[in-house]
Amino acid sequence: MPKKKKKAKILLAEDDKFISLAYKDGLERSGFHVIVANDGVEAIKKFKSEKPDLVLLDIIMPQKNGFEVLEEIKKSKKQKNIPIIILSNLGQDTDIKKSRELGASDYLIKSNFSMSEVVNKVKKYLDKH
Amino acid sequence: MYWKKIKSFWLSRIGIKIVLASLLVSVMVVVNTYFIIARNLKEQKNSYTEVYNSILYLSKAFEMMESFDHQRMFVEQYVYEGGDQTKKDRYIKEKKLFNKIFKNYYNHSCNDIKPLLIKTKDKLNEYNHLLEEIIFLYDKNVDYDLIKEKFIEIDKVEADIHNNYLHKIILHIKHNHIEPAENNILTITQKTIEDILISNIFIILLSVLLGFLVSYSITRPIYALLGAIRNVSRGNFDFKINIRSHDEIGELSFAFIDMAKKLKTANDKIKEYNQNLRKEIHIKTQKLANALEALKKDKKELEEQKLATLNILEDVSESQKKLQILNNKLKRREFELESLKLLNEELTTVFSIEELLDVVSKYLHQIAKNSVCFFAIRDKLRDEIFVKAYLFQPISEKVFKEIYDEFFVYLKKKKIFSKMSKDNIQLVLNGQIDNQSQQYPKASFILPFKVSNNFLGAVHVSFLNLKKARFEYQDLIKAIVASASIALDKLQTLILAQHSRTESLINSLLNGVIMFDKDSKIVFVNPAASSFLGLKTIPKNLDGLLEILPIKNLKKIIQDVQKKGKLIFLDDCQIQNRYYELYIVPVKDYGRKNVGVAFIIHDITQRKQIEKMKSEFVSITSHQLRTPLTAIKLFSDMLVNGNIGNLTKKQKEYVNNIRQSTERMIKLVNDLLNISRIESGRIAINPQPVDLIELIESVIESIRPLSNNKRVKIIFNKPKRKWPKINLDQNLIRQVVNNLIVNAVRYSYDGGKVEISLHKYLSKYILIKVKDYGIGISKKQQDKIFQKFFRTDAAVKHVADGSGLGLYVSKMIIEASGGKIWFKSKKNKGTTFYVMLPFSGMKPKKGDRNLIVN
Repeated sequence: MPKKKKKAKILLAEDDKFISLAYKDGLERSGFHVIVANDGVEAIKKFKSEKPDLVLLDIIMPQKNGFEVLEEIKKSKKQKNIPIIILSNLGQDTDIKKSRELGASDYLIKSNFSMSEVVNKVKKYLDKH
Repeated sequence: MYWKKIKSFWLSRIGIKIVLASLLVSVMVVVNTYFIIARNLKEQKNSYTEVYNSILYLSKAFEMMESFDHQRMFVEQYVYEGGDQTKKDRYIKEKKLFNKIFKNYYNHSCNDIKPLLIKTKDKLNEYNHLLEEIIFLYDKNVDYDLIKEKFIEIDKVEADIHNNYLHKIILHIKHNHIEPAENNILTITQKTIEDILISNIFIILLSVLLGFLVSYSITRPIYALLGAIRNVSRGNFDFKINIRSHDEIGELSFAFIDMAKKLKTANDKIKEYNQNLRKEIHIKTQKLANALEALKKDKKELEEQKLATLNILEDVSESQKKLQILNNKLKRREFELESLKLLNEELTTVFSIEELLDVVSKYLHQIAKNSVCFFAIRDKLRDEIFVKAYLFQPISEKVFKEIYDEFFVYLKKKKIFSKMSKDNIQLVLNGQIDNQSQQYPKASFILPFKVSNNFLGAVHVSFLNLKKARFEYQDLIKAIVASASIALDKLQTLILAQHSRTESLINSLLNGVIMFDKDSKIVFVNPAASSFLGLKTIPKNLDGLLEILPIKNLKKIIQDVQKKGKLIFLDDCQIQNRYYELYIVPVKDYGRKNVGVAFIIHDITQRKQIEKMKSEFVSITSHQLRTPLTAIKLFSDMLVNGNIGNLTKKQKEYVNNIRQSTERMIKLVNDLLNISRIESGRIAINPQPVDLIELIESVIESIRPLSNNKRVKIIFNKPKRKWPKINLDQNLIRQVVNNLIVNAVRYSYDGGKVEISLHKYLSKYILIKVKDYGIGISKKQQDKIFQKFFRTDAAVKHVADGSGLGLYVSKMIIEASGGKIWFKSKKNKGTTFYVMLPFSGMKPKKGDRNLIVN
């Protein structure tokens, strides 16, 4: 009997209510299990406890911003290689560069990417991993 | 008549005469000789005949002798050849023959010889008897010896005959016949010669006479002519020649007479001319004589004048000598004046005290090469006293100190400076201290720099060479010092005035200004700079400042600026929580010489803050705007995709409208962000090798949905050969190309065409051409096309939405890349856009921002 494919767990760190709802809906619709964190601290906590397969990380968040979260996540030895996609509306070069330096796998500007495009990216990075 | 003519012509010729005369003579000679010879030859003939006959006799005699010999021979033969009868017969024949011959001979001989002949005959008969005896004996066959005896007998008789008879006969012929005849011939010949000679002598005499006659006929007229010539040569043209002959000489004389006549007339003319000439000469000579008299008078006068002049010259030469001396003095003075003039000129060009001292020392050096000068000046600007020593010759330290002390004493004594002590004097040395040097001052003097009773300083000149320590130079040195004093005073005043002006100006600036001189000493720090740097005291020099300015390699940068004379701009210097821009500039004087370096400090903290604020604002705004936009987009996407249930057609349409508007807003936000970044000038340019053809094709491909929608055909006229890759920023150039092609398509009429082509332009640039046949741009609106947010009315009508930022951004990008963008358009006909970029491509530019690609 073929093993039932386990649903991939995705941690979504996003402070905006609507956007997090939209992404959660879209991702779940695509067959992913989504865990939402509404601020930086929560994101770190849930990362450690839930052990997701991929992280979608916003930058502008209360408590701690996305970069700080990224740094924190990358410290953990076990979950260092989990793909982290930055989903932000900041588009400055410096931000992209910084995120890359801190170990993000990709950087997407929310307003430029449609849901399906985001989903594809997620799939891509999950497959890679 | 004919004969007379011939006679007169030919016989008158001298040549003919001579010929005839000689002919006559030779004829006479010949005829004479002939006759004489003819006569004598006849006589000779007889003698020859005589001789001929004698010879005949002689031959006959020989014949006989021969026959005689033959007889014997035959007998011998008969005897010795065995009695051959033929021989005997022959002997008998021979004997008969001999007798015949003898008879003949006897008959023809002369009577003298006949007796001898008879005798001979007898003897011969005897001989014959003997011979016949031999024959008889032989016939009798007598003993051979007997025959031999007989032969010996015969020999004797034969010998006798030969010697006494035959021989005598021959002699007789010779003496009596031949020799006389011979003598006769000789005599005749001699006679002939004598006759010829004598007769010819007569003829010769005759011919001589004839010759005289002929020559006389020639010479007489010649002498006449000669006489006439002599007359003529003497000048006597009146003469008469009596010449009758018409031969050559006659002709000559006629010609001569002619010539003489002509000469006479010429001579007369010459005489006449001569006379006239003489008259004239006489007159002229008179005139000359008069003139000469006058000249003599003048000469006398000149002589007197000459003497006077000589006296004057003497005086002049004396004055000249005096003048020379004065001249020398003048030259010296001129030199001194010139030096002073030059000095003054140079002094007007100095802008610092150091320069002034350098100039003054240079002139002093010209006068006194072996010397040492010490200058003491108060620098009013810095309010310090400094002493500068120029050692034109190296001196020892001991001597240096001595001079310095002496100078110091003087300064103190004369109270040149107030508040002076050895401690607060700055000593500057120009020249070498050489402790081996034996030089010391042989003479010296000290002069103050004084202007209207104010002391500015002093100079101490020490001559190391006594020869030069002449007092004649003192005046010049005094003059130099006087000029220098005035210049120094002026300079100080000027410097102070300028300085205070400049100072007040700079002090009022909001920018900080710090000025260093060539030795990196701080000349000036304005209040603004002090406050910026938090300076409580002004540091003495650069090193003191470097501690406060936290800039790497600042010292090296300053040296660079000094050397190259180009300013350096340092952005972002942070000093104590404030931000500054630092300009390090070379300071040049009027002569464009570098005299130092200045720091211009510009407080840009506020600007930075504003920028930061702007940046933050943009950042926040973009984020703040984007967040809700994203949400709208996501939810409307979900609605349209039927993720939350199917929609009716109309509902779908409305949701799509929401999506489209959202897209527009997102795009607008992106555009605004891009503009903000472009205007901040912080867009990075990262050129990489880009295949333009590929890029254009890819852009065309990406907008295929749009072009298909409008049924607009995009034609790309690819260049035939592959183009090399050009260094371009992929994103930026793509933006521009995208913008132009999208515009071309959007503003075309349905079913129209857009032409894109690539060209090489002036072999240094690439040219991208995008041509459409669409709505075009009216002339009135053409100059606003590149403005922010501008869209033509026609464009708005044709295509509802558009930010009006595309061309603005494109222009910014192209111009930042060192290129040009322009267009040509006609309303309703179409528009062609041109983009020109250098082949060398875009230059990389550092920046922390990228354009957002829509």
